[in-house]
Amino acid sequence: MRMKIKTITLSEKILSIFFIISQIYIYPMIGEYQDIYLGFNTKLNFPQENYMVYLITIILITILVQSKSVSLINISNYIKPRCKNLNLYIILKTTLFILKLQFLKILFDMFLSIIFKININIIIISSLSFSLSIIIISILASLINIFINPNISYYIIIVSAIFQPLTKYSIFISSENDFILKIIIITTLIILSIFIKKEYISRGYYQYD
Amino acid sequence: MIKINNVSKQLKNRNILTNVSLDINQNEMVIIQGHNGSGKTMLLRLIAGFIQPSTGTVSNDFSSIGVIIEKPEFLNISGLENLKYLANINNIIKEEDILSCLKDLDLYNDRNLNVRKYSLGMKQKLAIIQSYMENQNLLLLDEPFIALDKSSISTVVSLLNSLKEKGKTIVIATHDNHLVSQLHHTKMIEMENGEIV
Repeated sequence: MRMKIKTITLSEKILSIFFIISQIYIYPMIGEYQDIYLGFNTKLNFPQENYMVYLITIILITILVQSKSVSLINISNYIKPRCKNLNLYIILKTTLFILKLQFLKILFDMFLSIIFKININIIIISSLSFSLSIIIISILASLINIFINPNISYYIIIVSAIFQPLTKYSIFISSENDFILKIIIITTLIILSIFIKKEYISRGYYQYD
Repeated sequence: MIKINNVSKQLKNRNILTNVSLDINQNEMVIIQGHNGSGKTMLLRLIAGFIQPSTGTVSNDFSSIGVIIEKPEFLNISGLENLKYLANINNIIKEEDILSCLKDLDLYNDRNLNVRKYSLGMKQKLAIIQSYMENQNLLLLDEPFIALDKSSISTVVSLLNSLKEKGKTIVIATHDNHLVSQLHHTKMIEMENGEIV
């Protein structure tokens, strides 16, 4: 009896796209409340013109994720005999992955703070506080990974990791003259997503039968 | 020791295994034969603990298990990196041990090649390597000779016989009658429609 390699089904795609769209609205909202709570003076407006930036990024990420989603499975049969508690293994691996990601993002934040000449402390504190939301997402992703379909959690982690900084920096790229900056940020985020993807592949996927 | 006691397994109201009983002792090589869909793979999955029986009991005393079930699929990184990834889970062997196993099955020269570029036979050999590289006590191999050329089959047969001589317990599911005579098996069972006949 052979296990069928599972690709992303139409309903899962719809769910993922819904999730992506919801992120566009949810993240700026979280960011704004968080900034008020932390007493920052950085009002997170969401400039209308940036919708096109998001749209392009969504398309690029979707292409990127789709192309390799099939190859992530089937190693599970080799992992299973090596793990006493596979679920715990997945959660730990996902958490480590997220922590690694967070570290990378802080570096990315610092890099941007230099470009935009922003107070580096505000950026780092803001970045760390944002970590809370991504950790919650990682837990959700782990659960989805275990109980539903690993491909969806892959979407969620990638999209969250990409959109969080994207929405965060949208305030800095709202003027008409910073087209090149937008390109730089999007390119950096795409490179980041490739890195995340590589990490996520090497993390080892698991799928229940 | 493995003790399978009167096990049945139903999936979607279909009987996959029916009243299967089997004892496998240490250092045995057991061949499970049968046509496609006879229940061989399901029996291996049951022994591996991947699935639970609907009725009956399965006990398995082996501390480490090497498994090939399903077609050989790997991550899109090199063969060596795949093996290192799996070895890192328990971290009980060194890279030299992996390289030695790659030499055993003539994959050493292709170790840094991305698995995407591997033929099915090469992937199968990689799957075999991961099943014994950590000195696993019990090997559960579902159609291990599939996609292998003549010379590779001969290498794998010799390897399995030598592993048995070293005290390993090996369970092989195959529908290939020709190779059975070359294996130093201690027990052979035939399956049909989910039953041992």
